[in-house]
Amino acid sequence: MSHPFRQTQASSSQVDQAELAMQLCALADGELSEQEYEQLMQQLDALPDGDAALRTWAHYHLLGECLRGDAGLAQVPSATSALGFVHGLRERLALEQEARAFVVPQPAPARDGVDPLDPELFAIFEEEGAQLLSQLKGALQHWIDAPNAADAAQAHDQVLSVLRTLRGSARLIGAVQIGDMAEQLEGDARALDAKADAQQLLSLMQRCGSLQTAFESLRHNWAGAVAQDAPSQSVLPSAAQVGEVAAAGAMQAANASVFRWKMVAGVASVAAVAVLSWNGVQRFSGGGDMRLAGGDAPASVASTASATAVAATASPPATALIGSSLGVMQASTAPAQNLASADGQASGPLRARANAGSPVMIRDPKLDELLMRHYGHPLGLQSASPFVHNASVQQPGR
Amino acid sequence: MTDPSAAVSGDSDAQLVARAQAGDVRAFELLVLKYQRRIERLIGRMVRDTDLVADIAQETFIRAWRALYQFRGEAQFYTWLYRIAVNTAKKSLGDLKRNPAIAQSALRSGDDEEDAPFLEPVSAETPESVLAAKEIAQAVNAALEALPEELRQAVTYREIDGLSYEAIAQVMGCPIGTVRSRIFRAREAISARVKPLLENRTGKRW
Repeated sequence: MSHPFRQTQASSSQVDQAELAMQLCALADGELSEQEYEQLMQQLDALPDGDAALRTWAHYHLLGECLRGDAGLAQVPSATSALGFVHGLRERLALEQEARAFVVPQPAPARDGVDPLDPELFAIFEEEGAQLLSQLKGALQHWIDAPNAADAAQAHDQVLSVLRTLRGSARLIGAVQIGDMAEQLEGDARALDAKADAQQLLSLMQRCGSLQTAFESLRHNWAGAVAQDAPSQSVLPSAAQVGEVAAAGAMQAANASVFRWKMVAGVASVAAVAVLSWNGVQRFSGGGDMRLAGGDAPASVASTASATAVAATASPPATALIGSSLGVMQASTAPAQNLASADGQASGPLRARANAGSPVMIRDPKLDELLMRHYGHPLGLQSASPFVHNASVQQPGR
Repeated sequence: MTDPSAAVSGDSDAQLVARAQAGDVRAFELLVLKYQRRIERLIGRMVRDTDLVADIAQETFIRAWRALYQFRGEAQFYTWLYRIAVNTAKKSLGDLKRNPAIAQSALRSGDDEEDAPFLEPVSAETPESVLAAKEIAQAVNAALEALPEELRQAVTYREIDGLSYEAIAQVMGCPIGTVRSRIFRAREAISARVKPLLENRTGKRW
């Protein structure tokens, strides 16, 4: 009989090696005493080539499968050898052990109504459990509605099958209460035969509702528990994590750009109303000459509208800018130099239109479109308040 | 043998599982080696890419290690492991499907039949592998038949009938130590006949 230990362990006696292999053989059958197990592990630790023992171990199990008629298992295509697989896993397990040393305790803490659950598997159970409960209700309803014994028997089988799966899934993740409820329900459903009367079936349906309630309660409690645990998850936050937290604090909402766009539209509306009023005042007072570099207040209003639009899409401090811009608008006495500077910042296609009889107007097609949507017709505002069109409006996404 | 149910061997994994639960990594490695092929075959019914199968199998065992403290022995260890493997494979498949960069060829199932692999396992068998498996089975049976009667009986009681050493000792009328020795010798003899075949066919994967 050739044995890997005999080939690789020349320094050890053959008797010892055979004894070692025999102990592995007994361990494979679960027939080793605790004392023998300890001795075996010590011997394995002392071996220069522990892989030989692992190979023998794997071989015994493969032979067992072949003897039980599953020789196909020897043909399973594998990317790595069994030992390569274990070596890879060993490295990952070492990392796990290191991680455990930092994050203690590993199990999720038990609370009232919350079983100690595995966080990673809970997400899977949450989805699967909801599906199973839905299938359970459907199967029970089929059972109740079954027109004949064959259909009832089929629905009965399905109820048992779903409950069995639910029980297993719940216990897999440590949801003991759900698992126990499913087991009791399964036992009671099994006790009923397919010809159970309506009262019994309705009772089952009612208990299925209780199971659903327990499931929802577990989900709710778990979500609360996770939220409560969240601050304590990071035991030793790294500098990168601290940076992330700081960045998260400064982060804007995903729809911030949409919000800014609405704010721009609102400001533009306010500006339009202010301009209408101003134009009216100007006309009545005989004013209205308007030049690009003129010193009239409307020009400054236009410039502030433009500045507001730019600022609103730029950064959080834009709020302060908007506030100051509105302040300028209300005062309506800002110097006209604002126009030049604001136009310098303005982006987007602007076109100037000069008319001998009418004031110079720089048009922005996007604002036109906005005003069209807002007021139904842009011309109503154009003639009365041409400078409003100086405002530059940026796309929300920019 | 008055009570037949008592004769059947208990959970042969119980000792290793208890050790692994206490943090014994080596015990867990032995369990991994015992079930790695079965888990890879299970995952291989859902995923075509053998590298991906190995990755999912690794992830399965890592998850099992993390969740081991929750295992209460109500089910067989393999049943528990099986469920973790199925759930891990499901999750991996879901993640892959959400990732457009991953080639569909890695998956066994189509987009519209998410649960199909679990209902109708796809076999990874090829005509060659079926033939090789048949040859191995024949070699194992031939090796078994060639064993001395007491060795053949002992290993058959254990491997096929699942009897405990104590029960086998009662049936064969010999001490437990003798049963242990006979089973070991039987395995070594079969191994000597079959091992070259396994190495040739599988490229010494074990």
